[in-house]
Amino acid sequence: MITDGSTVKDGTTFEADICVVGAGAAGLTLALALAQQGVEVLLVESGGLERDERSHELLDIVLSGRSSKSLVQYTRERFFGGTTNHWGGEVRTLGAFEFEPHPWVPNSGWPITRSDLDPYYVLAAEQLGLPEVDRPFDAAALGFGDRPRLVSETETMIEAQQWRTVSAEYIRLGRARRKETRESTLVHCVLNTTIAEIHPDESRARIASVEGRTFEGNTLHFRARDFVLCTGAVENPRLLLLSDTVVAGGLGNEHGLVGRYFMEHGSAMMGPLVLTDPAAGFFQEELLADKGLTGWATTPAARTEFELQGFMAIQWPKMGGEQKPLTHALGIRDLVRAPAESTPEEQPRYLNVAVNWEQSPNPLSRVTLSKQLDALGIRKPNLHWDVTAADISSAEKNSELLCLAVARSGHGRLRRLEIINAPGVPLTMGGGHQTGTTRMSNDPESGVTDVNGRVHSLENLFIGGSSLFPTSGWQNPTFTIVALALRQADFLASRAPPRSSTAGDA
Amino acid sequence: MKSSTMSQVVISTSHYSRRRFMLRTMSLIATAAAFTVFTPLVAQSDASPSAAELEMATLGDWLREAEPETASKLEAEARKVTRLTAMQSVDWSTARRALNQLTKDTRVAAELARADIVFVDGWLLARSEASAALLFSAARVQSQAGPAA
Repeated sequence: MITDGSTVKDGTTFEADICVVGAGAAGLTLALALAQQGVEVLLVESGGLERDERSHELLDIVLSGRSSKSLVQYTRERFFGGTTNHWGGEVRTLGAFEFEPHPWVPNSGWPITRSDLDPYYVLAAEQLGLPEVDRPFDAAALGFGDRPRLVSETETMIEAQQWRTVSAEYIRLGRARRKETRESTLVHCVLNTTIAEIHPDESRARIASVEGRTFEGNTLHFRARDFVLCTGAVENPRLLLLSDTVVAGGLGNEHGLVGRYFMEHGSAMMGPLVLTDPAAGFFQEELLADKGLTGWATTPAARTEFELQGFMAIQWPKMGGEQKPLTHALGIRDLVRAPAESTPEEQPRYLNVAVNWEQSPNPLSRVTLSKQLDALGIRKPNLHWDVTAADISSAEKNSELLCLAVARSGHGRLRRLEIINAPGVPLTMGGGHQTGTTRMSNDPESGVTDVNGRVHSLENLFIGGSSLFPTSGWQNPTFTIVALALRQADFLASRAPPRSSTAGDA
Repeated sequence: MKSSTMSQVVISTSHYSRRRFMLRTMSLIATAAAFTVFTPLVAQSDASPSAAELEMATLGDWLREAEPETASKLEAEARKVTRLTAMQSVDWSTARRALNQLTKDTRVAAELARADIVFVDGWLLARSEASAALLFSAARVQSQAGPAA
């Protein structure tokens, strides 16, 4: 069932087994998975069914450090389906290596392993209409096995990667799952209602209700046995910090960790990759790009040997003649060939390469509360995005390994990544992969939630989504967000006895 | 040959043909090898430079004369790569210490050093290619500037 909160009478109280805040990739997946297990769910969404400028402006954020509007303001959506409303749909799982602590990266590692998520990646693939969890880089399967590769398969430091893209039928979760939500007897979605505060009960160990506001000036109340915040890596800590009426400093913030360890994927153009022999024909990496993104990542072995953070590079589509290779870049092709091999008729051929680089979890990179208020009178978040010299050094060193791998193949040269690390210089185009801020951990002194996303100091308040990530990895996060939500649904369903009637939700 | 892309520097000295240039280069290499007349890059060294280093040093001498602007750019890049300031005197022992320091500081650099790799303006080149790059760059400018042999 879907209700427009703006039409609900002031002071109304809703009640269900579980209240999920936010109807994005995490919240919508979680709510519908719970309903499929017979659990009654309230799903509260700040926006409506379609994009609305007034709701979108509630995403406004005060920025400091290396933050930029392009980093957070334009990479999120605030309506039914959340940021999947502009998701690119590229799917990769986090490899087992990404879950492990790395001694050279402070605060790294997850309290769960890849095998804990394995069955949920399978379920996530089914939900997103994917035939497999991870697509292998397999040119032979598509008849391109005899073509050369830009990075040899014998390279031990860099390996080719293939992404799969979620199809149009599934990619916009708000559209793909709207009918199911509307017809569900166990999910009650309340739109156009922004949660402003979470209220603990007298024990301060449990949440009694959450309070929502509408643009009409009404206040709505939501009561449940368990509550789950699924509003993203900026809004989840914001909600915890806003809830400071009873607990000073905000909920779950006993160790001052709420909002800390904000991470993004630094994103930049690298290259171009100039092909040494323009007449050599297409490479496997190019041919497979017709079937989804292709690119390269630094191997766990190389990251261990050289103590590096994650790094991925993809071929960036050429934009209709807008992107031209630098004159300077073309010279390199001639430099690495014998002069006699150059002919004036040869047109240069090149590939654009874009990279995402992983940040280390950094407590100084954080979300706090601003004194500025949004249109509903709620304090805006303040994001201080901090990037360390080690982050930048790691990204540049990773890029050098990729340059080396390309050069070793003998088919081209790639110009290395150069990051200008100076105040006022944008460091990223905006990866749109915000993570951290309520990281999971076994120890309350090193994270906000436990392995099930439960806030350590509260019995019935849970967090879902990318803010749980203790380490981001180099992979696109949405697939892992969906898998985590499905895992959390199993856990929460086991705490909530199923209703007798599950008609229409099986 | 296509128009110049690597260097827009026009040689201000006399017009050489490619053949004359190659002969000149080979002559310089031979001279350097015979009389140990190296560039400042090697002049203060007590270590024996390799053939490749010798070739590069000799080409550097020639380039300073023929293309001072290009030579200046390349030297600046070389100093950047080896982390030498403009005030530091460049000799082989210093250069080797700089390389050792580079290797010590950056483990990736160690990998690259094993592969005998340098980055010039962000482009990865084997040392032998860096030498070839100088040669080819200069030869191309020469061939465009002067009449064919």
